[in-house]
Amino acid sequence: MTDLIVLNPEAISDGDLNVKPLADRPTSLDGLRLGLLWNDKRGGDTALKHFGKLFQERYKDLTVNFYQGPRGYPDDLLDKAFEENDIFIGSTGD
Amino acid sequence: MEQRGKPAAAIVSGGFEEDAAITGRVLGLPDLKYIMVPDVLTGLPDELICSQIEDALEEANEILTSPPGAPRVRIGEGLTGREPAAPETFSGEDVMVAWEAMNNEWLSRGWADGFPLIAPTPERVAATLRGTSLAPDHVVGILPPGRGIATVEKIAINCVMAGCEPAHLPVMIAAVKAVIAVAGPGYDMSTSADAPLLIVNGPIVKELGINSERAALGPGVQSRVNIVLGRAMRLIKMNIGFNRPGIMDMDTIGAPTKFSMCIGENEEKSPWDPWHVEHGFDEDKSTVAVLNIRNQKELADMFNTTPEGVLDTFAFGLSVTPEHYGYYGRHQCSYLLMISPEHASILERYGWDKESVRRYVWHRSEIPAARHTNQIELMHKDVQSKHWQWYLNMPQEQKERLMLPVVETPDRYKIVVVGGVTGKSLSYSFMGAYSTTEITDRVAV
Repeated sequence: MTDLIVLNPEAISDGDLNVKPLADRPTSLDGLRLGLLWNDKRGGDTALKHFGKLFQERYKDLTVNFYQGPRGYPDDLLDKAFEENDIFIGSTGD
Repeated sequence: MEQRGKPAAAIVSGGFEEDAAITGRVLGLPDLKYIMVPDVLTGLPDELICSQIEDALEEANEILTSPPGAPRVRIGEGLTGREPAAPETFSGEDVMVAWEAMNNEWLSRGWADGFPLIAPTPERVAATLRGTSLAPDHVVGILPPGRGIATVEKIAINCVMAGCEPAHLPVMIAAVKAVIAVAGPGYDMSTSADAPLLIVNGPIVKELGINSERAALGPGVQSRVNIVLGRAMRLIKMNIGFNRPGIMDMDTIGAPTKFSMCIGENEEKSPWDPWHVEHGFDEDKSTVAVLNIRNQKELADMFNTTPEGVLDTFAFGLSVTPEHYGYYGRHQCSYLLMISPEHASILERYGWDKESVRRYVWHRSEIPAARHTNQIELMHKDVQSKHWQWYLNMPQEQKERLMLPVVETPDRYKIVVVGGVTGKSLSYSFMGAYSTTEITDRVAV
């Protein structure tokens, strides 16, 4: 038998070295501000706004704010949305 | 928003689940949850979109209101669950059986491009590392989209797999730097067939035997260095950048260009400043640029002998917007013109410089504005570039009469001279920024 020893080409992801816990969740969205982040792709705005509508039907005094940005969401848009909302839903990819 | 400390959930379509899971992980959020919908929404009518959202409402509510728990930390695990620093042993009746086992296993893990790999034994990797003065654990940078830590050793391992020699390693280190220099959010995560093209300039082209003449893009022995360099870029993107089909590379159909693309510029036959001088480097420096290209188009003209004649062939062949949204939709695209030495000599004979070539092609490739794209009007009004609103408000018949260039400005035609002695040039389109980086830290081996 012959052994072939080889080295692993796969890198470690920087993400694995900088793991963050997910943010604490509220038990209810009553009285909160829901930010909807749209990535410009067709259909994403319809989906997000429908989520907004459904959540407003479910929860009391829920404010819904809609944001639209190019893919990659520039920092100033993220800053604004972060300040103005408590919780978020976003659209991704195509 | 999760990274900033507030709860968030993303809508993810069927077919993108693995991509989403890996994306969360490489961003340091391995337990990020997604609201799954069955279909990609872009092609659905609104009522179907709403129906899928209604079906996903309970899942969305659960994600936004349930305690997240402690994150699962995977340090040292590697993307496919293997210790990145540990060597691996494959056994067989003889070395070829063991090698075949390695290839089959690594292909199934997503570590291979589909062609047989050269085994990256410790001896071969050590020999390759002698091609640079950089230490093996030197971090070149964080390679998107997977945010892989690109050490010199990991680059060397992938170079060996591609068939590179030690002297090629500095080229690939510089190529990785070039990618990292311009890669923004979403880089290399497209559903389009973007392929990395390496353009090498300077004395290193001849020193390494990088082909700048006939069949520079391959295949064949005359381009063997080009081929392994281009292949190394593919393997580096897969194994360090995690740009793997269905994982972070969401390319819809794929493309053969993704296997390997590398040229040396034919600086001897070029009448103009070569690429690297045009980009601010001294002529005696060696550089590599990496462009994400699409859309190969031959520009063949063996009849015309004037600049106008040849460049009309170019312009008519490129009378199409290089990207499907056109530049009204904030997508900026460029054309790379790979001009053959014969065409370059015609242009030189009449004293045409690169700027003249750009402007002529830009003007002569104008098409009716209505032919630029049939999609931009279907997009949300706010998606379109604000300074093109006057066009979008124009009646259709006026759009049919208005002639516009297919790229927004003449400088979006980039030029290199490459190839054999025939009147056949080639073009590719490319999106986004690129970088030209000096090749340094070389050791003679």
